[in-house]
Parts: sequence; C-alpha cells; structure tokens
Amino acid sequence: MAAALRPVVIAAALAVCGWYGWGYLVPDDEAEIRAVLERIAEGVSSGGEGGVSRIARAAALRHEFSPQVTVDAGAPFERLTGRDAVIGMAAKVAGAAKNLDVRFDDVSIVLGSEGDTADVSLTAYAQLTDAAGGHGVDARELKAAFSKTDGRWLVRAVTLVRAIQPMDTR
Amino acid sequence: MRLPLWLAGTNQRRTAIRVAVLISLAFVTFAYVLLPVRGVGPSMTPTIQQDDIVFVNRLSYKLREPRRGEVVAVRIAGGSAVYVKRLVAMPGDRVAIENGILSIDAVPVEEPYVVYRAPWQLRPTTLGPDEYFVVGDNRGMPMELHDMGTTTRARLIGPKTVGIY
Repeated sequence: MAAALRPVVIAAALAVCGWYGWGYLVPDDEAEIRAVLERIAEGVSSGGEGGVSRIARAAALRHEFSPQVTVDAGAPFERLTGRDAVIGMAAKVAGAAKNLDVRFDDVSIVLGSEGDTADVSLTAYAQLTDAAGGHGVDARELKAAFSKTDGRWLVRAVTLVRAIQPMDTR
Repeated sequence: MRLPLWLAGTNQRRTAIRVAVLISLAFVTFAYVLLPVRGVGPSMTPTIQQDDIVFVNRLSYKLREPRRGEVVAVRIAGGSAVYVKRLVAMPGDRVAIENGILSIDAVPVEEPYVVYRAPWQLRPTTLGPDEYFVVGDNRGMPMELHDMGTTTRARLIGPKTVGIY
C-alpha cells in the first residue's frame, strides 16, 4: 500500500511546489499590490537605526507612488499632493519617531475591469514611541487607489474613511 | 505511546475527545461569538481603562436592534481594530450637548456612567435613518481630541458583554 501511495505523494508534493513556485515567479496583480503595501509599511516603520538610515529608507518608497499621488489620511497629517511631498512627510515621520511600527491589516483588493486599476480598502495600524519616550497607537481605515504603469502597480491616491463621522463636518 | 496518568487520565481516548471538543468550542466562540478587545486610550474612562479587556457579542445585533445606552464596538475596515464607544442616540433622535449635558429631543439624558464632564457644546442635530450617535464616557477630555459622531448600522459589531478590568 505504501509503495502504491508513493507516486501519489510525490505528485502532490510536486504540484504544491509548482503552485507556490509559479506564484513566486509570476505573481498575480493582487499579490503585487500586497507586496507594494508591505514595502510601504516596512519603509515607513523604524526601530533602532539612525535617523539618516530611516530617512533613506523612506526616500526609497518614491518608486511605489505615482508622481501625482494625493494623500489625505486625516489629522494630524495635512493633505499632500505629489510624490515628493509624500516622501518628505514619510521621512519626517520616520525621523521623528524613536520607534514606529506600521502595518496594514484587513487588506481588501478590487481590481478594475480593465486590469490596470485597483481599489484597496485597509486598516492602517501604527504603534510609535516618540523621542520623549511617549507611546501612542493609532488605527484608521484608508482607501487606496492603485494604477498600473509600465507593468508596476503605483499608489495614485489615499483617502481616509471615517468609521465615526464627526457631527461638525456634516 | 501512552501518556502519563496525570496528563491523560484513565481513558486517553476520552481525554483526547474532550480536549478536541474544548479547542473547537474555544475556536467557534472567539471566531464567531465573542470578540476580545483591549482598551487603548482614555475616551471610555472610567468605564473602560487602558489595557482593560472587554468582550463584544457578535451575535446580538444579528438577532436584535442596538439599544440606546449600550457600549458598542464600531468596526474599522475589516474589524481587526475597532472603536469602543457608547451608543447614546438612535436614528431620528434630535441630539445635542449643552455645557456637557446630553439631550435627546430636548430632554436631558441621565448618564450615571459619565464621571468626568467638561462644558462640551454640540448644536442640535436630527439623526438620519441610518445614523447612530456614539461617544465615549470620558467627557472631561477636550472635545476636539475625542472621536465621536455618527456611524452606520453596518459598522456596529455588537454590545460589550463582560470585561476583565
């Protein structure tokens, strides 16, 4: 019985390896978008290294954003337009925090019918320790619009989605 | 392999079944029934303090409507993070806050859970058909730093049940 099962087990193992290998070598659009988000979260996060390293890491994120990107993530962040402004703010935040851990949870991706746009909903979660040693936690829902340019997925716009709508802004 | 008596009891098979049942029950309970939430921030002080653990009943609002005065969880995106606030006004209510006192349809509301109170001001507003007004219990903090306002029925996960304080 064991000898008869061996080819089946080997075939199943090869199929699984092939499946993951294919996914690694030829990632689909959703996987690429998730990878962009992962790189942005890692690029903005900081912990332990010097200010110059953090700023350099944030600056490397410019390749993830469209040149005309707009970011409106809500207070205390100003509305930003243009890649340079976004990278500048990312570098400023990364440099100011002693420890900043950013991650994106609840990522939900809807690809456009043409295959070159995508709408992403996510929870941005940040834990930070500021220079004075104070701790803070923030979580907010964001919507990100992606567009595919020259084979790369770039962030085109980020907007805050308010789970609780303030009364004064109605 | 025979496990020691003190670990597996006299009947290993029965013990294994009991453990499997307990694990399954725990999984179903925390995946579908109770949502554990750790308190972060001062907005629900003194009802819920920093690092308190509360459990939100995910099933309640599938079986009934939310009730005024309940402490509720409000979903952010997929629900890995939530707001925990008190539901103080329902659709159709005319809500206002004058000198820190909440009123619904011009009638002041008794709020025994509010210990700290600053002179907040919120002009009278009538809530729409899918608007639920939520606010924290800590009314002593600056109003501009307090997340409060309207949310929708779809974002209300459920009421707080028990807590570990």
